[in-house]
Amino acid sequence: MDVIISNANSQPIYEQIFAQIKNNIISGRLKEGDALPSIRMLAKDLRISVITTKRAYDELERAGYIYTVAAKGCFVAEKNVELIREERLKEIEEHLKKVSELAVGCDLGDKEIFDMYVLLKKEG
Amino acid sequence: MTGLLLKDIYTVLKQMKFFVLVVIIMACLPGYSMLTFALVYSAMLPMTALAYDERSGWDKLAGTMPYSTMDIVLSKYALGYIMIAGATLISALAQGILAAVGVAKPVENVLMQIAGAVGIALFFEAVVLPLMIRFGVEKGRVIFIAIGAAIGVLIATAYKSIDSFQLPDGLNTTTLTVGVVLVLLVLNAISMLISVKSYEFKKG
Amino acid sequence: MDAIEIKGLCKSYKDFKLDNLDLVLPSGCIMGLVGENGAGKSTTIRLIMDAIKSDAGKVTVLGVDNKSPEFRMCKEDIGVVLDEAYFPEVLTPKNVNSVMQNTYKKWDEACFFDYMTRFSLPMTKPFKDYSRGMKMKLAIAVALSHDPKLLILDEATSGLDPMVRDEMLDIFNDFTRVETHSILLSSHIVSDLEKICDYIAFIHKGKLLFCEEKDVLLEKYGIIRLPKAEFEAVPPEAVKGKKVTNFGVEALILRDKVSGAFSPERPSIEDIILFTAKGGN
Repeated sequence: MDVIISNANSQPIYEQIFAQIKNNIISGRLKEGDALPSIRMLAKDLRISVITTKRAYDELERAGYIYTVAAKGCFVAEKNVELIREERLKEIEEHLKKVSELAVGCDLGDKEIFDMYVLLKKEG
Repeated sequence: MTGLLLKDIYTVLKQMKFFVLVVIIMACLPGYSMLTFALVYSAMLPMTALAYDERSGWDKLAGTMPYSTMDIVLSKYALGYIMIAGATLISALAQGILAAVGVAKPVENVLMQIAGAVGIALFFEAVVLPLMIRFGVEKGRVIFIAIGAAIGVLIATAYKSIDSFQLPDGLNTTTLTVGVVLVLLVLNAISMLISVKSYEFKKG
Repeated sequence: MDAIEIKGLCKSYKDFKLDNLDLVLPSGCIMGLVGENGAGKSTTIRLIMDAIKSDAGKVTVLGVDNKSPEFRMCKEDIGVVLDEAYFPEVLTPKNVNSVMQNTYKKWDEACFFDYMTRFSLPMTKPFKDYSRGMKMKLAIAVALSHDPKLLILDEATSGLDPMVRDEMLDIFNDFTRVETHSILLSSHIVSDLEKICDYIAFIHKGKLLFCEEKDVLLEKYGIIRLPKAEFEAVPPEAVKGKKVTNFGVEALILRDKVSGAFSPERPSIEDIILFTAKGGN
């Protein structure tokens, strides 16, 4: 599993870890039942604070992506279809927001946008 | 405490070669004063150890180790006792050989003299160590020389009358020896307690 | 059980006063103690080890009161590296090994020799022939070779070149892979602390100005640079410290008290320290 921390951007480190592990899970690189590195090992290998990795793992567990087995560690949870759908919906929403902003910029109406979409899908 | 003793022995090892030579020479020379000086010189070794400690700042490191103040102080006394014992053995052997060969005085006198010298050396250690711990090695050295000179004068005057030494009635050599031993033990114990208090005080 | 708990610690010297220090080092964490020379870091560490007497306050190390007779045995589990190595100069590492074997119950000779090899330190050279870097490496090797649970490092990396410092930081980082191991690391080289610490405690002129999670500090604050006129728009309660020059204002601000429009930059811990010391106005 690759986790790359960037110090340059302003995103808090725990968010970066959360996002990267989450993407690894969603994309399938991390499969159900896979063991995650221990909080401490991840922190020490990445040379970041243990508190931060713990926070990221706590968030992942809260969001349902992983679960903890006492004295054994953290594992990837069953792919929760609902969760994934929700993620995808969020992404689509953001893309649509962007489209709407751009549309205002070049004066495109709703119907024209929809026509574009249908055309692209057909070519697809 | 073994660790501390080892550290002191390693530290003064260089000095010890010269020191052993001096002790052997002094111990082998006939005469009470040389013998005494040999033993008192060996009692000085803890002072050298203290000087090395001061120079290297060892006390700071010792504070981080699982040693009590008693351990640290006791190790210096123990070093002195070991050195005195070693020097006594060398002296006893040397003087014994000299006596057998006929150069020096007969054996019982020699034994008495050695015992006396040991007593003086122990007395020295008991007095000077707490002074050095309290005032530091430099100031302690000055006081040490002053006391040394005073004792030297005492020995010189006592030596003149030692041949005609008469024990008062009721006391014999055994009781006298036991008495002196007890006094020295108590003196050393008191000295150690004062040293511990001085060490703690300096920690301040 | 916390590794170190300090409550109300006070110590006065002629021209310096450590004022009512409260500090906690949670178990399994690395805490960096920052401050300028003379701020009180070494004094604090000496007080923790009971090397000097406090005027007031209580210190508990690994669950043991440092004024109790049990603290002497507690030192078996504490590895200390001071700013200098303080070994008698004629001693060789071989001698040091014998001394330590007779000092610590859990002294591990193999572990010590291992470090000697790893640091390329000659076993039979007397201490006085060691360079500064070698002396500190020896001190660190000694501190790590009796299976301690707590490492206390007082300016242990100052005076070392960057490559050696990084090597030491790696060793300290590895030490805390075990969750019962903790480190208190004091330094005025803030960049070192930023690399491995979980908490940063800033002592300034005898007072603890803050003790916070390092990552929270980096998230909480931002740096903005603006012309003087524009800076007027920044709410004063957001400004933790500022620097005014002829060319503008540079300030450390609390991110959640200013609008995103100012686009604050990510600060370094050193920035946070410098600006906090300067004060709000």
